[in-house]
Amino acid sequence: MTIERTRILGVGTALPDRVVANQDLVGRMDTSDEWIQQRTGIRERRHVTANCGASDLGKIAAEEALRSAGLRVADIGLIVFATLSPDIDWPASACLLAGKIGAGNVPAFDVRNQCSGFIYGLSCADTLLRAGRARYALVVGGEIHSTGLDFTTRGREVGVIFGDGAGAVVVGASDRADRGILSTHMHAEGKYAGKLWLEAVASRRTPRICEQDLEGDDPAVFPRMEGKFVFRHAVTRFPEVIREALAANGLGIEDLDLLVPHQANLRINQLVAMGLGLDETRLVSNIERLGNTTAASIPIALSEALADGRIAPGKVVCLASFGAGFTWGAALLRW
Amino acid sequence: MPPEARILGLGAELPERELANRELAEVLGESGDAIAQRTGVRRRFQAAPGEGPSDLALRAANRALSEARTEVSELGLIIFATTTPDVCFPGAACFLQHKLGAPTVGAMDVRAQSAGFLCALDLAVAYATTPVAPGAAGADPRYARVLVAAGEVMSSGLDMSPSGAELTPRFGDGAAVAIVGPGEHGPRVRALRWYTDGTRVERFWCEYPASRRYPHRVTREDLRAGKHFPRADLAALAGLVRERLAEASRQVLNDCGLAARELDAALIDYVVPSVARDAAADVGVEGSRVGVPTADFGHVLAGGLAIGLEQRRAGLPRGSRVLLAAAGPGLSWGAAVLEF
Repeated sequence: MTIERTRILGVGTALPDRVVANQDLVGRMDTSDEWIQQRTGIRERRHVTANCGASDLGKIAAEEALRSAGLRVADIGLIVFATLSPDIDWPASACLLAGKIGAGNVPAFDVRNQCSGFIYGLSCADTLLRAGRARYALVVGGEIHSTGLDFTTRGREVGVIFGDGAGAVVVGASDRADRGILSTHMHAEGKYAGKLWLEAVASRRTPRICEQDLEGDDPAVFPRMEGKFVFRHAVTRFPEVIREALAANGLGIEDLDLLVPHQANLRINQLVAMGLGLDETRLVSNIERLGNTTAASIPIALSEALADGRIAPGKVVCLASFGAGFTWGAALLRW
Repeated sequence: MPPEARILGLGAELPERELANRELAEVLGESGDAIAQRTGVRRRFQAAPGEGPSDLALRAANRALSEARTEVSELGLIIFATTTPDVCFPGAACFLQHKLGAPTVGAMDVRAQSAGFLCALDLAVAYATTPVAPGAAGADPRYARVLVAAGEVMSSGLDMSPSGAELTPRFGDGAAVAIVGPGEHGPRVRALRWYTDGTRVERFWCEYPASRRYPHRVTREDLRAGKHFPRADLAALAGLVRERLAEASRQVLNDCGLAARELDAALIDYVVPSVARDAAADVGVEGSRVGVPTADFGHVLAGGLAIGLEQRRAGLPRGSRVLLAAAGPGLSWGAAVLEF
């Protein structure tokens, strides 16, 4: 039977136990709680404390999403894993996850689109299901940032931002044509790849990673960011793609019940909401507690909004992202 | 009924610099003949210094776009399948988009190792043919032209010392680009299936950098121990891979009601060419109908099938049926039937 419309049937999250408050970082780098909060809105984030991969957190989130959808792993016919911090160099984290949850031989691939990874991954799953490739798909966003950050003063601008975590959704057929994922929208502007990036491992250099990459004033194994430049583009692209998603469905800002944006920076999301005329009740925010979990941030925020009752049947919800690439995107849902 | 998507244009790029077996022999401490004998790989190509997969794909893309009579401005989505992106992030698709001067449409990287081209092609066909909304008559007009790139620069990540002798000669650099969309000319995908078995990841992998490793993804000790190089237990995988390739091939033939003898060509790709040939024989395709991309230019994980297809298609008349199958790390494998 053809699936005409898909919807999110279940959600799940996984967060490491260890809470790292801003104050905990102060001893490791020259920073302060006030400095971090003022720029990012972040008060604390989660970090792993032992060997743990994106697929390990992804497994917990995926199994919770399956339970909440009332499905078994055997029902899943497709796995899409969004990450920028895969467990290992290759194969993809999707393969590791498939093995850990016992998914059999279903197609499993990673989408590597940084902060927009979940939106892109959701778009892939929605399209492949409607094209008849499977009945149910798992879309997971999972990241372990903390093993690849520079926690010295040299790396503080980036190091304080990111947190570890995972979120997952199960996607399947909607029983109503007017409910579910209404449309998805993907964009990129590779011109600005170097404004927020992680160089090593870099196949374009020989060797693609070496000992020098771990050293020096600006080690190639740590992410680099021109914060102000990224900020300026984010506050333009976010509203643009949110309006695009609404317009594609004949809707306006007044129809939007809830915006679930990628959690990169509280100041960005506040500016975006203000510009669109959305008050705080229509904006989901959890960066204060979790930091920026890149591809995991949207499914985690979505899970929280469902749990606290801000999302209910019939509500119009927009998921939106902007980040490294640059890539940005949106998915419009009627719950 | 939405229109069928076809590969409207196809381009491939192997770097100019050929790395012959006798050249590798010096660094790997084995004779050129012995390398050829042992690996079944005649030669491979090496990207120029500073070039990543997006550079190779750019040249392939220009040929593919021209053949598809498609302007860069018409592209609605860029999907790049690679295991070895230009940098760690963002993905090769973002770099390719910029180098092409493409509009700010989606640019997505997918990781499915040697099944990468099949994964990306499947996605492209799905985007190009799926209606925009329930009840809508046609496919989503935004995705009337999808660019699929598939390629690798493996050479910058290989162990160029005697301890790399087992695997290093088996890999190569290269890329291919297909323009996918509804149209009248070019091969269409009659069947495509691909699979993953995540229970054997460490049989064929590149472990480091590994974000799962606490507290640091990669250390000097890891690099000194060569843990950032590919490793594989090829002997342990041979039988299983042969079976999987044959099974997937039979499945897609069955999907379109074809017998193996009705195939005009079969491209079967695996890092060990003899395993690919054995699988082809199991399916019932042999001799000159069978091509093994790895034997001709090394294993280019995501790109091998697409490059091989571009090389093979000259002389295939309209109506020809071609089987594609590939397997690699993941384990991920799959097969497709194209009709020209």
